[in-house]
Amino acid sequence: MLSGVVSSTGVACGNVFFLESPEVGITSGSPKEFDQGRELKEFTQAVKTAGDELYELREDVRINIGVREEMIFEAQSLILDDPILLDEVRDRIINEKMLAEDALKQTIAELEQQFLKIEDKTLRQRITDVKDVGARILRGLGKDKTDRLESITEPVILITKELLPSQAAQLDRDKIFAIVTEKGGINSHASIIARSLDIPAIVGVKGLLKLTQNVKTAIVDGLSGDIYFDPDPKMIDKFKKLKSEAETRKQEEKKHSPGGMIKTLDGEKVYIYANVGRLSELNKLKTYGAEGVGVLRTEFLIIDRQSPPSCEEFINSFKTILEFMSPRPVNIRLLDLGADKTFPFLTHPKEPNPNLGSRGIRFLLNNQHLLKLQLRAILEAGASGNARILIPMVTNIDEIQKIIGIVRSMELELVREGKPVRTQMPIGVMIETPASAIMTDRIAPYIDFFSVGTNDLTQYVLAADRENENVLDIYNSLNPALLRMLKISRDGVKESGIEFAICGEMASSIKAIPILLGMGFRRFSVGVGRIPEVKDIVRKIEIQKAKRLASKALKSPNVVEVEKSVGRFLKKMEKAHQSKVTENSAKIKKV
Amino acid sequence: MISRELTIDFKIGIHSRPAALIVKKVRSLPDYKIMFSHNGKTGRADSLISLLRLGIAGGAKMTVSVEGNEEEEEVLSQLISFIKNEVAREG
Repeated sequence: MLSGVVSSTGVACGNVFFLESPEVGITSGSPKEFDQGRELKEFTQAVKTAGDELYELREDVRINIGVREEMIFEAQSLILDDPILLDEVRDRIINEKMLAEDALKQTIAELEQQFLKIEDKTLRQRITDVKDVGARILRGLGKDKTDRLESITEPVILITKELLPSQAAQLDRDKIFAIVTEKGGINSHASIIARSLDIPAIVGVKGLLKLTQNVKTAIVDGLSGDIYFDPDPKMIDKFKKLKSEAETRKQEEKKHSPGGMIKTLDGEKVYIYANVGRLSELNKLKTYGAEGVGVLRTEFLIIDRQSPPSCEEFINSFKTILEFMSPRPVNIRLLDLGADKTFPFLTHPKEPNPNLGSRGIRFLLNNQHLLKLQLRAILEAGASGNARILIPMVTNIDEIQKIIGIVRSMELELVREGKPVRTQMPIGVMIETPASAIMTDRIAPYIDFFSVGTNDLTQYVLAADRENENVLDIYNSLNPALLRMLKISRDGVKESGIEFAICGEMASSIKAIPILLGMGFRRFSVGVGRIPEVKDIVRKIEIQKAKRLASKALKSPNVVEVEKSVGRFLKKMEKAHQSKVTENSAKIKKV
Repeated sequence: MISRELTIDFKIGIHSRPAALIVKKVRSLPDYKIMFSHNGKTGRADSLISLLRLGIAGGAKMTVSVEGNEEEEEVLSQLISFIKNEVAREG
């Protein structure tokens, strides 16, 4: 028997699977024998890795460079899963018994020959994209030879030195009974993912790889932190008892956390929502669990367009998301254009200071055709789920009144047309300007919910452009000035009790979450990938302590003092959590 | 299987961007086998490489063919109007 630290609770029994750590693979360096299955798998994996890289690159380019440049990568993504490229490489592996690298190299070389024959010069040059994609896959083939996670078919107990973040991202609940690692801590990315997927995990097991060389099966007791290898029938009986106990416990826990609702350490309910910009994020959203879509950034749905979007396009995207999330709410934010988000098919006014110019709802009210097109799409798709309208960049109440007027009259129009509409669709407001933040008590009677956009609010309260590196040290959401602004806006809705959520980067910042909880925020809308981390920290926090932290932060003179207080808070919180874990496993061992 | 000839009347022809649009559209119709022919060569329309390889320049004539169990005519018309409108607008 070996022991380690429980990083995700649960009990499992099954065959073990040794996932070699990358460094082991490099030193082994034995000459490779041809194995068709392995070559095909490695090729598939390399294509997948290249796809992930391209996806990230594309996002990066879109945000930092521009939509036009991003299209290069769109073409490359299409080449990456091009049936001709993939089929020819697989064909060479299968029929010509070629190694994946060679099959790929030869396929690219042949394609190059074919492209050279094209008359049109600009078309001919597109071979560079094909070659670039080829090179990317080749890199993947060289690098991740030892990554065998893909090859797991039957569910196993995964044993490895350390689970890398890229490997953790591939974990599949149906294929992994449990994870045991020699290194790693309970707050590593891998541990957090394991918890979010509900896979039992034990980390920090000393001597694990040395002592388990010939082991075939194991029992993982992710309650006490013990692992039994090649167990006898008696042990297996004991395991069955453990498992049924663990399952009741999990059922009990699950009862309390459907979707995005979780509880703090002292039992306060907190709701986690997701920010969504692409349909491709939906699957992950399902795995991680969210209470709804806090902000659907609709401008991202049309970001690669050169021509105006059609109503149907919007309807289709909205329907997909609404049906997927139903009955949970989806806050569809009206196009937030202007400032840094401009489109080639729209005429954006030339402004000396676009952040203080025609953006968000201001832009839409100046471009009513686009506004009505989008509202119509939202209302028509609305019957597919729980749709709600979210208005961006509000400064004045009359902006809200105008939108409400348009929405209600459009609803009537659609009813008259005989379309299936749910009338009185809820309408909410983004709090992103100081003007709206200090007026929440007056805005509340008109609307159904609020969402604070902390990125813009920080920029406007501190008068510091978040894209301007000269003032980056000023742009900081932990500035007490911003915290006070948040408190004013939060206090403004206390009486009406209207739903009040927080989004933006601050909502998923480990340092900000305890303060926000202490200030009374209970709804957080965060990037899909951040959901596991955010849930994890909320569960460790005690509201009473967070309240004390918040009042201290609100009285702080500057960012430095706020950070000090949060730092101490987080340290104490982790310490308390660790000792609780140890205490629990000690208790279980006694039993 | 049915097919129809059309002229690519936008200047740059089936370049990366138009080809990408077409590929995405064709991939959204997985129940049909859709091919493009030009200059005696034929290529599958769900492959960017294959479309680029056909080398269809602006002003050139090409043929679209659709094979499926039902509604071939509808899909063909839909595709041609997609190329004539949406793709042309960006071409």
